[in-house]
Amino acid sequence: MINLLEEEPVHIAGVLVKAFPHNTQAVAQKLNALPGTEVHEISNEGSMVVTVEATDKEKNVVDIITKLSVFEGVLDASLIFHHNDAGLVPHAKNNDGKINFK
Amino acid sequence: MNQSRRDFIKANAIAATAAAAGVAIPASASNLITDSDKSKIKWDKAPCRFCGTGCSVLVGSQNGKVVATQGDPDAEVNKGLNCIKGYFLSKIMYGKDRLTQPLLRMKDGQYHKEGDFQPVSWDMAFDVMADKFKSALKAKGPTSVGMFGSGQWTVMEGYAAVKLMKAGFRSNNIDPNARHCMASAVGGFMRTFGIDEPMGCYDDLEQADTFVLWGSNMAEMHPILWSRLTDRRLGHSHVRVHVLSTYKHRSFELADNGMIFTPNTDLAIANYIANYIIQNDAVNWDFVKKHTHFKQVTTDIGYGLRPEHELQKAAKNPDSGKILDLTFEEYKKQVAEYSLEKTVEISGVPAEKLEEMAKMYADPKVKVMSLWTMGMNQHTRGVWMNSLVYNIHLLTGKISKPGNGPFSLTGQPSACGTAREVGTFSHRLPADMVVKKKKHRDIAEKIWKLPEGTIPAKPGYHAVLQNRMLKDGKLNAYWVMCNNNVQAAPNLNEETLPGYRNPENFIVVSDPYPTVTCQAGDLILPTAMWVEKEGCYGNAERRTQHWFQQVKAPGEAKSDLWQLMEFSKRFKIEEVWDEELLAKAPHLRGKTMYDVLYRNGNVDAYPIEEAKELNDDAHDNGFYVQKGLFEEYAAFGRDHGHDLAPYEMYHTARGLRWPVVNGIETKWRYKEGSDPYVGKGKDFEFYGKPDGKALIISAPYEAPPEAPDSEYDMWLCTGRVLEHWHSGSMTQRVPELYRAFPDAVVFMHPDDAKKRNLRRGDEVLVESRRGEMKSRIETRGRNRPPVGLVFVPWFDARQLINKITLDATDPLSKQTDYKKCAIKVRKV
Repeated sequence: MINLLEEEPVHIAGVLVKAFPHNTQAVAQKLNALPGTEVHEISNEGSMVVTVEATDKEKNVVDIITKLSVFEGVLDASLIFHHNDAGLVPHAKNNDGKINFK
Repeated sequence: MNQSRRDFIKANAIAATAAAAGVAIPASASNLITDSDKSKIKWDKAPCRFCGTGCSVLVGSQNGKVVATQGDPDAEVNKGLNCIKGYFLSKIMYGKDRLTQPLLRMKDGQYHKEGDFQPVSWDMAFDVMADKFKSALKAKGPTSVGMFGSGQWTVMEGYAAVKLMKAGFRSNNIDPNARHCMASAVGGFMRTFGIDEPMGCYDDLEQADTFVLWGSNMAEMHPILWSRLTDRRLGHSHVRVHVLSTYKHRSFELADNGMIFTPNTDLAIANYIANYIIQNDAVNWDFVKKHTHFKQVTTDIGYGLRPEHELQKAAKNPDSGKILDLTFEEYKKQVAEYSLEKTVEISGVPAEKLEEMAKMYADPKVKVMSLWTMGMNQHTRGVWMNSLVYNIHLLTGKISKPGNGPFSLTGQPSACGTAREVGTFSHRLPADMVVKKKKHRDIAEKIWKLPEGTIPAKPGYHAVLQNRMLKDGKLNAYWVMCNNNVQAAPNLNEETLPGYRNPENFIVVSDPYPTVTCQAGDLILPTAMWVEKEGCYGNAERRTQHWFQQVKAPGEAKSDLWQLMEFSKRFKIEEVWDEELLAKAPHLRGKTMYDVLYRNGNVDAYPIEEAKELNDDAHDNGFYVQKGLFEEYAAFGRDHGHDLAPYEMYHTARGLRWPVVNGIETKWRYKEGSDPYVGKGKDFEFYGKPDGKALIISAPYEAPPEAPDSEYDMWLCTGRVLEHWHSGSMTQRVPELYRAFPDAVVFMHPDDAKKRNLRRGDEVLVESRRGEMKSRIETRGRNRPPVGLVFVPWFDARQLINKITLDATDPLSKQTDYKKCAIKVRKV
C-alpha cells in the first residue's frame, strides 16, 4: 500500500514532550510556532503528542527536536517515532549505485 | 509530493507517540518501517551503544547494513522510548572516515615512530606489534606492557583482555576508561557494602516519593530515566524533586528544590543531612543497631598527584584508605560540626533549601531515591562522598526497598557489566575479587586451569598512572582499545601526549574511527563495532543484555575480541612466562598463549553449530567463542551473589538483573524476600561484609586541590551534552547530531562575561596552569553557571578541554576530578 519508490523522501518524527500540567498550553503554543512542529494531543498529566516534519526551510528535523528538548518549560522530550525513508534503499542510492547513508 | 503518503506516515507518528504517552488515539501504533513484509528489513534486538542506562533498541538491517533503529516496546528499561542519540544509532557505523584497514607509522617501508600512517596488512600489523611487545617484555619484564580498555567492551571482550594481560602477559597494567567515570562509585560500594553495584533498580523510579539528584543532570545525560522520573513527578502531586549542582542545568526545569552549591561542598551538605537526622531523632535505631557499624576515614590523604607534587608532599596520610573504628556518640559529634549555619556558609545553599531536603530524608514516611553520576564520582573525595550518601540511607533504613535507596548511575553501556563485574581494573579480578588476595588469585587460576602463581599479586598501573608511566618510559608497549583516552584523560599537555609520543614507547590504538588517540598512536587497528559482532553489556541496574551480530564490519575491520585472540597466537608461552612458572605446568610448554588461555576446554567447549551463521568471531575461531567466554566467566560469580543466567536465556530476554537464581532475577538486594541470598529471618543482610553489616563511614569536608585565586579566578567544570556521547567519536559522525551541537562552547554567567568585556559568541582563550584552549562564549542556553564558574563540554576533538584539566584523582579510587580546577578566560 505504500510505495517507497515514490517521489521525495518523507522525514517525520513523533516526539513525546512533557511539561508541568499548568504550563502545557503555553508551551504548546510556543512549540506550534516552531517550523514543521505540531502539537496534536495534550494529556492532563502534562504529556504532549508532537510531530516534527522536515520543511523546505528546516531540512533537519533533529535540529528542531533538540531545540525543543532544551526549550524553556519543556521537562523532557523523547523521540518515539522517526520516519526517514531517505535511509531506505530505494532512496538511498547515489548516482554511482552505492548506498548513501547520509 | 504525494500528500496521502505523508499524511499516512504522520498518522503513524501521532499514534506511536500517543501510545507511548498513554494518550488514547484509536489507530495502529505500528511503525511503518518496522513492518518487515513491506520493507524487507530484518529486525533484531540490541542494547544501545551509548550510556549506562541500557535501553533496548530494535535494530533494522537490510542488504548488510543497519538502516533503522527504534525503541524496543518490550524493554522494561525504556518501554519503547529513545533519546535523540539512541535514535541515530543506525548511523554511528557509517561515518565517512570509518577505518577499514590497519595503519602503521612508516618511513622507507618500515615502522618509524616519526613516520606517516600507511595502510598495512593485519599480518604486518601484528608482526610489528608482537615484536614491540616481545622487546619490552625482554628488556623490562611484564610491567612494561599494558592495556587501556573500556566500559564499552562487550563482557566477553573485557574478559578475554583480562586473561590476556593478567594471565598471559602476567601484567596487571590493564585498566578501563571506566576508571574515569565509575571508580569512586566502586570504592564507595566496596567500603560500605563489601560488594559492588546498586542494591535497587530502575523500578524505584516509579515508587519513590522524593528524588535527590546529587550533581547529576539526568535530563541530558540519562534522558530515558529522566523521562520515567518526570512521569512519576507529573503523575503524583506529592512527589518532589531536589536537584543539587554547581550550575543550573536542564534538570532544574522539573526541580521543586534546585540548589547551586560551591564545588566540593557536597561533602558538607551530606554531613549536614546526617546531622539533621540525628538532631531530629530520626535515626531508624532498629535498622542501625541490627545492620550497621560506625567507622571513620583516615583524613588528609592528598590528591592522587605525582608524589613530588607540593600538595602530595603536604598531605599527612597520602593515599591512605584505612578505616578506623568509631562509636555512635563520636559519629554524632563529628557530624554535629555541620550545623545548618555552617553548611550554608560553606556551600552557599540557602538554609531553607537545605532544610527542605533534609526533612525528606528524615521523614520515615517518605521514600527517597538518591541519584548521582560523575558529579560525585569525578571528585578528589569521591569514595568518601559515595559513602556519605549511603550513610544517610543507612541511618534511616531507607535502602533495598522499592522506591527507597541510593542509586549510582553509570555513564557507559557496560561500565558495570564489563569494567566492574569482569574486573578489568588494574587491581581487580572477576566477581569483585582483587589481585592482591592470594585466595582470589587461586580461584581465578583454578577456573582458568593455570598454575598457581600465574597472576601477579601487585596491582598494576591505573588509568592516570599509565599515562605518567608512559611519559616516564616505564610502560613501553601499550594497547588502547575501544576508547579515546587522549581526548578523555586529564592534563593532556603535561602527561598524555608526552607519554604517547615518547620515542621509547609503541602505542597501538584499536578504534572504528581516526580519533585523536589514533592520531597520537603508532599503529591503528580498524575495529568492528556494536552489532557488527555478538556481545553482552551490563547496565547500571545489574541488567545483563545480549545481542547477536546483525551485519558484517566494513573492509578489514575486526572486533576487539578477534584482535585480542589473534594477537595471542603470536606468542609461545615460553616467551611470556618464566621458567619457574613453566616448571609448574610442563604440559603447557610449546603451546601458544592462545592455546593456553582460550583453548583450555572451557572457552572452546561449545561447538560452532550452536552459533549463528552470521557470527564472524565464532567462525574465525571454529567454536562458539562468545558462549565459551561467557560461561567460563559466569563460573566466577555463580553461587557467590553474582549469578548470571545460562547464556541462552539472554538471547530472548530484554536483559536480566543479577543475581539470577533459578532463572529469577533480583530487583532489590540485601532484603529478605526480594534477594535469595538473604538468610531467613534476617530481614536485611549486607552479605558483602563477613558479619552482614554495612558500614556508616564518617568523613569530613576537605578542600579541593585547586580553587580559584586572583590569577586563575574561575572554576572550570567539564561534562557532556544531550546530543553527544563522551568524546563524540561516534555522535559527531552522525550528521544530524553534529549539526545539532557542532562545537563546544564555554557556558558563562552574563555578569562574568560583562566583567571580561565579552559578548555571546565571542572567541575566548580558556587558560589554566597547564594549558589553553580557544572556544566561544555562551551566556544563554541550557546551562546557566553561577558567577565564578564555567561549564565546558568535552565532546569536541577540535577543542580539547583536557589540555586544561588537572590530573588530580581521588587517592582511593584513582578517579580523576574533571569537575573542578582553576582557570581564567579572556578575549582573543
